[in-house]
Amino acid sequence: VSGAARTSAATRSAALAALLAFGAAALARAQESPPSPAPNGPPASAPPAAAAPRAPVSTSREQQALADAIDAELVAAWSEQKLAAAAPADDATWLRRLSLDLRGTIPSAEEAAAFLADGAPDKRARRVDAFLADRRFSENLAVLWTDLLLSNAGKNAGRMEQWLETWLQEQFEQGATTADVARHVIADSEWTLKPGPLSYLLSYHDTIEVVSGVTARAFLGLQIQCAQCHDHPYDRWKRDDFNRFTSFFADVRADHLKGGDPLFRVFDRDPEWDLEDRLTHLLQASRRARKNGGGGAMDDGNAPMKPQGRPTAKRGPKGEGAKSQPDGAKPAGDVDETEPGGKGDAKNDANDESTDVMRGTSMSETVEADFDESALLEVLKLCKNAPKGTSPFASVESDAAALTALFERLPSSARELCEKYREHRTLFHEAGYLDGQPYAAKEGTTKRAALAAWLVDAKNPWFGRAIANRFWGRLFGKGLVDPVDDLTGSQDRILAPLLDRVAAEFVAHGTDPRFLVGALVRTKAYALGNARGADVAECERAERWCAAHPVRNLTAYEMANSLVAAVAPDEGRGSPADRAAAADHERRKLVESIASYFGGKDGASDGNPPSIPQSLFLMNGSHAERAERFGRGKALDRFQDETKPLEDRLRDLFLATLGRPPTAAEVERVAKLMKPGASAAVEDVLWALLNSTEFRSNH
Amino acid sequence: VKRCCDSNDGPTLPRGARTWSRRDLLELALRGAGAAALTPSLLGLLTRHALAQQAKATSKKLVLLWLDGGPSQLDTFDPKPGAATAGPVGAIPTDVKGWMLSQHFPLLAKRAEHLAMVRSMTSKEGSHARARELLHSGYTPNPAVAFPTLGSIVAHEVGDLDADLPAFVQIAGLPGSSGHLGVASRPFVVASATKKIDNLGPKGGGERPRVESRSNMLDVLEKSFSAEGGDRASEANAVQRRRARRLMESKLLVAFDLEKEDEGTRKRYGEAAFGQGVLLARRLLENGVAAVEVVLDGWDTHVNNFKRTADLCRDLDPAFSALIDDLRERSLLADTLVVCMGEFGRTPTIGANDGRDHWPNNYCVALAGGGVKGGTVVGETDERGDSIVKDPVQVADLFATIARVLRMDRDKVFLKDSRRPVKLVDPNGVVVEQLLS
Repeated sequence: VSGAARTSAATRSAALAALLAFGAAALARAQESPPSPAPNGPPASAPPAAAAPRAPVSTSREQQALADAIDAELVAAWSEQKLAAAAPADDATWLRRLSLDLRGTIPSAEEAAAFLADGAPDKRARRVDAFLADRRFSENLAVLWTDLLLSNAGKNAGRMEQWLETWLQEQFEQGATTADVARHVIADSEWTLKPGPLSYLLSYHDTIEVVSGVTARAFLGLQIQCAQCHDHPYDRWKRDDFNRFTSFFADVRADHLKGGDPLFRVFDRDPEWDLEDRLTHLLQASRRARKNGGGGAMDDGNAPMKPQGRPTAKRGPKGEGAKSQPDGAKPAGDVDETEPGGKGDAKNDANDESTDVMRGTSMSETVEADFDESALLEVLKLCKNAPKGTSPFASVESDAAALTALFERLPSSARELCEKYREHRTLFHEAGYLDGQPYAAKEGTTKRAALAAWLVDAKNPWFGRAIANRFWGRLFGKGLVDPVDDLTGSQDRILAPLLDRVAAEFVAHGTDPRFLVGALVRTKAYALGNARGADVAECERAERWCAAHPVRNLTAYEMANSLVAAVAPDEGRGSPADRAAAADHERRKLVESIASYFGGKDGASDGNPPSIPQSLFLMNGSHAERAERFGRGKALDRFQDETKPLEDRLRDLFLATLGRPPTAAEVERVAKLMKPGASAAVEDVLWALLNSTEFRSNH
Repeated sequence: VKRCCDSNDGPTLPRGARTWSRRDLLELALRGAGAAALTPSLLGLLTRHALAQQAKATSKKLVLLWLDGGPSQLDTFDPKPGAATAGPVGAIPTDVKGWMLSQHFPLLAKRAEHLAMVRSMTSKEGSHARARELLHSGYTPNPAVAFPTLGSIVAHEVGDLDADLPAFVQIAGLPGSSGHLGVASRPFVVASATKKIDNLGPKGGGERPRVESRSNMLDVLEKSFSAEGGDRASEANAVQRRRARRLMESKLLVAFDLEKEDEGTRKRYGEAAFGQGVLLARRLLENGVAAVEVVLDGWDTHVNNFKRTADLCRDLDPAFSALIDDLRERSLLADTLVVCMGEFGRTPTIGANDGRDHWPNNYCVALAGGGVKGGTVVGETDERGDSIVKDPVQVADLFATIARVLRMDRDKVFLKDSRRPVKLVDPNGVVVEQLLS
């Protein structure tokens, strides 16, 4: 309001200018911000990764070479666009930006001070090297990919998110490439206690239409899911494309065995066999249930799987574990409890959502106790008589009325299974790649393994560009193609040859994320300052062409990390490792508790605009208490030492939060506002610092 | 692309100028008049805009009672007494001749003349996440589009986005998304009706002098950051900080204090968290909030359906009934639409362990107030209660109807400048005329 009041006294043109500037403030929010993190729990140990640790795929010199090439292209573009580049960012701003982008947290006061004091000409390059090697770089990447892959998985994804993130972090620490990650999450099959890469398919296994859309978006930057319902109005994708792509997931099945330790498995088997098996199981279990007193508790089918029934990795009880086709073997008529279907077991924990990943995915699997078996037996007969690879309903399909009548006699869960089978058979029978190549089945491999191989093939037209563009967007505010995941449909695209070049180098370096990120942050463009001036459109144009660096709000993950870094420095008791673990635990808890204020998952899709709860949290939240504790600690001691000039005393607080020392003008103004009493004063200053837009944003 | 393109409901202002609050605009207009610094036309523009904002806040309101998990239609609003699919649940007559409710709703049965029922809702979404999104947005989920949730739609279209209290409050449950409608109509989430709001700070905004000196110190920092090019971000934060301060200091905060209700009233709504949430919803409506969603979780009854549904109905029946009574008594019912629904129905066939599974094929939505015709039943299912024999209603139809009764412009286009313009509600929806009074 005060701004408005001042405006009212100004001249007419000034008033108009102010009006424009004020309006533009809202627009600043539309800047893309990177996906926000998944909630984290205490670290779980994931199974050892298949990929062995490897040497870095690229050197900083190689990264710098690409950076120089990017800068040359950008400089040419600016001159063509008649854009003046913003002034370079100072060291403090650059370090804070780099730390947030690469490690998801602000630099510590000590790091900032050391960097500012360092006079070496290569200090920035060395910082890039150090941050790329930081454990937190891997964690940050893991958070990004977890969010990308699971943000459509709904509220049952919680535990899966932890597993996937932990696994991803280990992978990135060991030098995994983006292609490795894609291959594992799409193609892995095994029995495991901690699903790791399987978490992806486990989270979506009953909605293959969703997982195909997410896969195309995350790994290819393609929006094919609109074509699920209609031919895309302004893109090349047709329903056929969507259906053929989705068909790669048609054989995916997921299991979850409860018991002492739950076991998970993702595997493949053809839908005909799957249908017959499930129907058989339904029949058997209901007979048992009736024998045991009809309608009552069904002991066998609901009991946790017997331990000896647990198959070992690679070899399922019926040999279907890692194979795509069941060797023509049909399931036996009797379904014993070692069958890892877990049919019905998901039901037992319907109350206990947090521990049941399969909840919401098992609409057809309850065993009914009491129904007329004849229709079910008829359908099972159709299944048995159908030649391999053909629909069991093919022989009766021509008589629609008879088929409807047959289905109506089925118990509802069986009907649901049959109807879903028929729908999928129609839609998702023929797999085909998005570049038009047909899929050719190969013995000993699965459809999704073939898909993964095609995805990460060096010749894939989209994989490299999608990842390169996504990271460009993350580091420069907008992708060269915007939105970042709409490579073929977007109208907002600049410098297409540059994206091709970056993508090609990324692929040539084995899709190593460190190469890509390292090259982008070593550019001069990345080191530019923010756009200044009243002409908002011009500022936005400069940002679009990377001639000025955008200001974006921190995500929940970055905010929690930064708060802990700023106001709870490592000064507790215990060994350094204990203290680090405690700080880790604290920030992970904080991420979860503030996710809803700071956009949570929305952060991925609609940026992370400021909100009332965010402001309330920063004004009155729990971190304020922590800030006071901090104030009473070592900072206060130093702050209370009135023999020192105020500038030095404020320096700690500014470095710890903003990564820079205060200016002389700030010292003077803040001094005037300080209340007597060092404790109150330090708290007030910290409050102001943590509420400042400078702290709340990456700029 | 992801910006909210607002509608044509006022004079044209520069893009982004919508973040001026009514208060800002009036203040600016008045001060401007005093200082004679603004031209008459600009002054007129600002005033008209401010008034248009004010006029937009109609008296229409919405309460969504969200039954998370998917309630069994047979055990609630579409009972089939005596059918094999009914299980042990009986039905009771209501005060509207010819229709019955499940035996779990003795209180609602006496208020059936105010209820409208759709027994023929149908969709294809059988997974919780997708069905939850469908029933909240009216659109088939599409990961590429952030469709706003119902409460945000109502807050944005008929609410006052510039009041002390947030226009959309959600009590319990996972926060919905306001999608392309932007930050002001996001749900303000209260984890539980009886829990204090997070981070409101000391009562009355704390020691005032301290807040002032801190804020002045903050201004120092904002000024230096703005000078370096952070002005746009700084202004956006300032807007929300001011709204947060207004909430902290608002007298209307008392709306969140259930202690202000007498014990009898609190009991009438049911002592469970859900009942108290519905009571809170009523208090919020009375204080100008446009949309409240109250979530009752636990309807995913794959096992032990009958007992669990009965327990949940013991929470739902008194809360829904007391809400109808109180809204009537306060003459708010005519303007307040109450919608009671979940993701889908449940399988008519009873599974092992008395379970029922997901059943999007046919399910119920109950409505009250807000200009829907009480005592109406739309649609009919067969004697087993597992297929629709009359008047199927799609979710898009329901949303078209909600838009109609709340007098929202269903054809309003958002994201106009993008390649994915989105209408307020799915254009495929057809208003269910039978529901209109």
